[in-house]
Amino acid sequence: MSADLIVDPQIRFWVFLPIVVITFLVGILRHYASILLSSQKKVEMQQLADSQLLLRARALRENSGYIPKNSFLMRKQAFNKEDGYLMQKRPPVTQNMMTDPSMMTDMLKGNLTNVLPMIIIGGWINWVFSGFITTKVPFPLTLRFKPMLQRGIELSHLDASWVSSASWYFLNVFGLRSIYTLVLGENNAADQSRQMQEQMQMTGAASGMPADPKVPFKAEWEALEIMEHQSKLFDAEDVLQE
Amino acid sequence: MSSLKENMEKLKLYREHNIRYSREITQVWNETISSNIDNLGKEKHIILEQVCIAAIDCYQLKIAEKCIHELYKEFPNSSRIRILESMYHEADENFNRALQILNDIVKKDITNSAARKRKIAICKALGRNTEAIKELVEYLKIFMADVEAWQELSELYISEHEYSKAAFCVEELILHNPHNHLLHQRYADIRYSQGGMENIELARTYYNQSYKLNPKNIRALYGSYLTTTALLNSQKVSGKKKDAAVKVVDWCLKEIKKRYSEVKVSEIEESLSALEI
Amino acid sequence: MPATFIHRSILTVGFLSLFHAAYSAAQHRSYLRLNDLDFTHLPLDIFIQTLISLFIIMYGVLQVAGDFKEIKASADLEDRTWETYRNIPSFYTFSHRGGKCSQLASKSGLEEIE
Repeated sequence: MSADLIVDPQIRFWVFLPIVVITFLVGILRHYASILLSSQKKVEMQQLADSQLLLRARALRENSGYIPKNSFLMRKQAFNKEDGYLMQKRPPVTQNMMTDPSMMTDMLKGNLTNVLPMIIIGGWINWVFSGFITTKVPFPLTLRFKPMLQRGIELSHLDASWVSSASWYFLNVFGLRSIYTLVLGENNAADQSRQMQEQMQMTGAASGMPADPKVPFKAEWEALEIMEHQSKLFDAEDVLQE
Repeated sequence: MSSLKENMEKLKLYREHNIRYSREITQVWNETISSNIDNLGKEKHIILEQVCIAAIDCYQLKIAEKCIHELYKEFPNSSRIRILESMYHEADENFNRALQILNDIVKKDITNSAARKRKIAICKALGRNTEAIKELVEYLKIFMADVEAWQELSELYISEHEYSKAAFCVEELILHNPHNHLLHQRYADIRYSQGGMENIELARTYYNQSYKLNPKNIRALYGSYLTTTALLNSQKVSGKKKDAAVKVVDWCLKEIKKRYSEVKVSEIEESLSALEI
Repeated sequence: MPATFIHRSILTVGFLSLFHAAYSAAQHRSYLRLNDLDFTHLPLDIFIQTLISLFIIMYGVLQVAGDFKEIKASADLEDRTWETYRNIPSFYTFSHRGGKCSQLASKSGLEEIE
């Protein structure tokens, strides 16, 4: 049965658009709130050193063709030997989330800014805009989509293309993410003046590392072990052919 | 004379390419920018920092002081501005005060890399090269992927005539920027200065690589010519390679002459003959 | 050429016009459906409006997005020389004769004139 339902045009103005606008604005609020809340991130010295070490090891692996073979072997030795850079022992980091206070506060902040508003506003929209259809997706869908798209509406004969307001809200939350990068990314794009801030910009790209440095160290170690040097420098006599 | 926008574009170019035309920058400041600070928009603070450093370079300390003052108004507790202040004291040869500020910053925030780099720069300014090298090596043990520090270390080693260590540093730079013709040429320069058969062969390979990456690099062409000539004049080269090397030498000379004839520089013959070793 | 306000507004106008054309097309279809007419082709004015807004958007985006980068990784380095490349702002020292000599020169110049 194709959709022959005639929808009240007032829904367009008073439900459809407000939900989009609400989702969009709440998302932007969330972005700024997360910036404000997360500005006190402190980087551990050891973490910084480790991340720089990994950067250097990766650069070595990727571009080893451009340095002489001896130099590459010397560096490989320095990284991979018995007490080399990649074999350094690190104290085992507790993965237990409850006992680590800083990780718990981070988790709490993450939950606060992301999940909690979504639940609250989803519930509020469900309560305010309940009892009617909001919109229809332009393509036909199977019945399996009905519980997902028609939260709050219990009609078994309703075509699955019709969407209720709560589901429309959730569709928006996930769909507007790329628009956020467009809008908020524009503010952060390659703008040198943005870098004039309280904190220092670290020279390495990595600012922090996951709790366990052993895993990436081991991965790098293995990758470097199996690596053979292949010179990418072109041969001297070919300069004539240019 | 030129508008504010043009000057801002020029300053942006100088920032991107690390061009150190300090006198020109202070002139631009005096002409257009100092009266228009609030019209600079988003680039206000970065331009203030740039002008501050240029003013310190030209020993125009009043301008530097004004810039630092403006910056402090917006960011009262910033370590980045305190580093600018330490540079100001450096220019005034008040090294103790500068060191005091930097030590303070490092104590408060142990991961601050810029303050440590300034301390090394102060050692360099005081002429204590060996101490600077030692500090820089310590710094690099922690911040291994800091390309600027590796470059600075290579320069320090060159000034101390420790060419093999300088070559090591430039290799690090090449690992991070493999497509930069200047780095390959620099590496070849160092190897050529070291001398010895292997090093000259390495230098030749790298000069050719640098030329291949950027055919406009005349130094690479000269380097090619010199290294190939040096290899020819040594005894170890076999017959077939000798012919190929002779061809390369001739071609290099022709290319150099062609380049100079395009730019119309006279007396190239004399200069080239002076190069014959 | 950096994107100016005019280019951005051209882009906005193009987008608005495209949305308007899309909305008109949808309305046209619903009108036809309500009147049980067959849908064979879009009215000519909507078609032309869509095309024009397409070209306007293309022009606007090209101006706003900026210049293309070269494909070769080393291409933008071609004109850089070692003189500028070796300058490392974090390590600038000021113990050179740059500013101090020019100060003295200007002072002594004034004295000579007097």
